[in-house]
Amino acid sequence: MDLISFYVKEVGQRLPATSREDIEKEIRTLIEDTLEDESGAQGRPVDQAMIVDVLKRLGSPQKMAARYLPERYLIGPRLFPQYVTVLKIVLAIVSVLAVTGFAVTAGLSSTAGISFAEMLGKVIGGLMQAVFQAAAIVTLVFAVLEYFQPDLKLSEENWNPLDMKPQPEEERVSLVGGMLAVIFTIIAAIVFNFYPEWIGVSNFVNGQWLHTPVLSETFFRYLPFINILWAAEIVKEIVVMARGRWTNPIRWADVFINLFTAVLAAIMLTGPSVVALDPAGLNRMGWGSLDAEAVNGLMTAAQMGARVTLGIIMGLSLMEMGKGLYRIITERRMLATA
Amino acid sequence: MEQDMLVDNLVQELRRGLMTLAVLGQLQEAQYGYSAMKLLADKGLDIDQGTLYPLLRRLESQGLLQSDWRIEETRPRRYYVISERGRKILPVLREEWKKLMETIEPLLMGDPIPGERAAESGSEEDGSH
Repeated sequence: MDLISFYVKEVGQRLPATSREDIEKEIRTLIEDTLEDESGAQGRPVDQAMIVDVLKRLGSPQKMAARYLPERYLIGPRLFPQYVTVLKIVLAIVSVLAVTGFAVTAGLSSTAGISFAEMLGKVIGGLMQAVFQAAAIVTLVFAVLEYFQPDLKLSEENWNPLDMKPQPEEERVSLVGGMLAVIFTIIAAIVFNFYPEWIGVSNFVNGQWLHTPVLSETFFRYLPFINILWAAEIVKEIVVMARGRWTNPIRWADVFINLFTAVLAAIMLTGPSVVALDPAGLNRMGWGSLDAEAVNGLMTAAQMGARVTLGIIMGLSLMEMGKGLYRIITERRMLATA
Repeated sequence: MEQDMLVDNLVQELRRGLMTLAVLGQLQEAQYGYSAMKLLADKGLDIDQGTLYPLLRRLESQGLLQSDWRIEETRPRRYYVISERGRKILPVLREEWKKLMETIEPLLMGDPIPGERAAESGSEEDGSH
């Protein structure tokens, strides 16, 4: 292939398919125009040196193609500072959780047959995996937000300096806070839906992880409803961030999400237990066999823990719901008196 | 070296918007990329081919220019000409440029180095004539 065709192809490769052929054709004719002119001016036929000179003036294919493309960002300058902040926080939390998790498990593990170095290798490997997954989720969520930036810009156009008046803490919309909520909800959803075995008892035996799940079958019957609530929560957070403030419809949505969370927690609390320990599974964990009494004790403790957690979730949701309702009412009163 | 790059960047930034104005102004009659470059160069405005060709496309996608392929004796060429929309917008841009010139010029008169000021205002007059 001659130099010109090669150059044109190199540029074309970096352009979107829709305009590629047309731009390639145009660049080719323009190069030929330039060469024709040069050859006339220099009084000699076109040669390799002349072509090299003309292509040099056009610039490298990368540079040339870039000039034909609009500037596009996966995460643009508006969101970048918050992206870095959220990434730091998420990675710090995930690292701490991963290291503690592994350390606790390592402490409980029967270390017979495994060297310390091997153990350390496993911990570092696990940590890396956790960190990469968390970073990927953060990046993905921000990229989605960037894609829907038109909405964000809309709220910036309607910006009113008077909106900056000091607001109570709960009224303030923090992009970083919202993002953290979205990201940890996604992480929770991924763990409960795809890696439920990690929620349980783990032990590292002979260079391998063993898991005994704690979640009972009853729990998985509730999971679709929990997923709906998580999805609603994510949508709500994104709408709040895009709008830049709490509006009445968002507040009502929040009240209903909290109400349904409380109701679901109450149902799970009063129904069959959402945790169950499988004695056979526990005995396979490498701690030696446990007697019936020990298994029963563990079971009672686990069920108690689950009930307390559900109770706390129910209480917090009801409290949040009350706060939301209070805000809706006081705002209406303020509007009425204004 | 670093200073040269800074100056380059600043000059590029200054030129960027003005190139649009110059191209729109010179495309009252249809030109293809290379002829447009020549036309501008003949009038004293040097613009890189690598800058001009993508600019023509961008202005077309913004509806300020329109283009068509024309078959000529040697090869087909893509001709660009100012569009109806471009014709409407050009006087607005021109007016804005004039106002800017009138505002900025006196601001630069306060330049504390008289020698450089004289040289600069001299060369600018050469360019506008």
